[in-house]
Amino acid sequence: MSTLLSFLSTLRHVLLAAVLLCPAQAFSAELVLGSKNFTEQRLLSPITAQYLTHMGYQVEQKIDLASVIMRNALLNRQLDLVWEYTGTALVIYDGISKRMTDKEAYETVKGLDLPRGLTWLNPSALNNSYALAMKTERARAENIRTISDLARRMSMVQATSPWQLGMDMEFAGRTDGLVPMQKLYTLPLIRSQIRQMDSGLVYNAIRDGFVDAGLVYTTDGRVKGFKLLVLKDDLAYFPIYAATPVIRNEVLLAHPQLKGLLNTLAALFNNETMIALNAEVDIDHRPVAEVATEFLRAHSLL
Amino acid sequence: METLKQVLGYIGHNMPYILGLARQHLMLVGIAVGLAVLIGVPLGMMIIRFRTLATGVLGFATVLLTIPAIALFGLMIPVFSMIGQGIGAVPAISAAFLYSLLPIVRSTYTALTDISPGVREAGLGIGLSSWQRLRWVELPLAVPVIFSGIRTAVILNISVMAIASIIGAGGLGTLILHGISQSDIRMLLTGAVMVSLLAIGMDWVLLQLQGVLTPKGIRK
Repeated sequence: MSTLLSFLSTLRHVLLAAVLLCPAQAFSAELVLGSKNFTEQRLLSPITAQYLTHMGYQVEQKIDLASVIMRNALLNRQLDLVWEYTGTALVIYDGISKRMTDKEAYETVKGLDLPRGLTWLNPSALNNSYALAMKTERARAENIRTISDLARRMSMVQATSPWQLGMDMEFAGRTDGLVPMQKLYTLPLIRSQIRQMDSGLVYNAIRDGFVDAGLVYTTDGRVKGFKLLVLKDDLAYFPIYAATPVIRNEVLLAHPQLKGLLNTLAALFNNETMIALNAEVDIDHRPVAEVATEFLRAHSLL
Repeated sequence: METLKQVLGYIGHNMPYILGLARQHLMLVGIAVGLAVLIGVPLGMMIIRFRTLATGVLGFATVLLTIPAIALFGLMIPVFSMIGQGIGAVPAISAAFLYSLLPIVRSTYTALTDISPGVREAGLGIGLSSWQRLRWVELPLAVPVIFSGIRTAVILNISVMAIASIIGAGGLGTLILHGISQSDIRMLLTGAVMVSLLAIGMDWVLLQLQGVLTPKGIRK
């Protein structure tokens, strides 16, 4: 028994040592920048990191995090700074489903996050909302322009050849995702018609005809590059997802200049610029770091 | 053919990045399996002495291995969030560590169980203490089998660690993940091939090490 106890205590020490040793680099950087697992976020990360590095900060990038994981890491102080979307914070983190204007939504999430230790800086004009999309050619042929059109068309063929819808797992599962949208538009959908996959794979699936329609991000370069048509959200289901720098209060207090620097970046982004940047990565397959550098140079920030 | 050219072009242009990810990948696996050896081998030796524990320990390690890798990585997040380490290297290493335990504990246990009683008694006969027998007779004889367990753990975790990128730990999985979500077949193939090469390479290295550590008398 005592052997077991001493073994367990050794185990504890070894694990503790592992915990202390491994992430040594996580503590060395001045700022830890988190980002999510899709192209736009993979671009915002190096753009921000390169700019802040140029301004004399040491920045470590933590990439590819799912929204909720990133949020928790920020609250746990493992991250200092992220680009978050107003709609995501409102619906997912704060559980508010009430329809709001852009400004209302921003003020609400900002106000709720401040006592949690997070400051929302200026929102950008970049609204990376969700949308449903189809192949342009097919949508034209079937005369579908809005999500309501889609719902009508889908009900017509539901009994004979039910349509397949592609989407990422986050949307299929989240509370502002598929279920309420299906209800609002009365989309005829049973589980076997829902194809869940990585968000980036949906574009290929629509283009290659594996699904009839799919969920896309409005700022993704592949909407244009793959000749997809974004269906109009005619019942205004999707909220505004304005990309905004969010920083921990303590970090902002220690580096007050960051406010100005990040707001400078936020002012650069809108949907058009982001679609072009995303296309450089997803259509032309250029490395994100290179695209980021070019973007900053073009705005004389490097 | 066209794809192959694209992949080679991609590798050529991104060599330092790819090698950096490979190094990171190997570090994560190395630390995890290293810790598993430090703990698994003594654990295997211990359950030889306390046979009643053997079924429980081996059973527990087997159950750990049946948890789907992606779930095990996900499970680490809330656990390590409690100490502010929910993302990154710590949860990834911990998951791989748990996966490595079974092959290592079981191979140690099997190796020591299979030593012939004659050899054991010979050690006893020349007056060796139980510690001396373990150190000079039983462990050296067990090296080949223990090493086969370590090799299994390393190869298993080199492929499992490809998932670590979804919890922010990086490694070669980053290429695979980006390849899928950015419609970029070059990254996807590069990541997959690199993971395989790493596994084959490490297996070879460990095989050489095993040869060196195996006592002359039982080398084949």
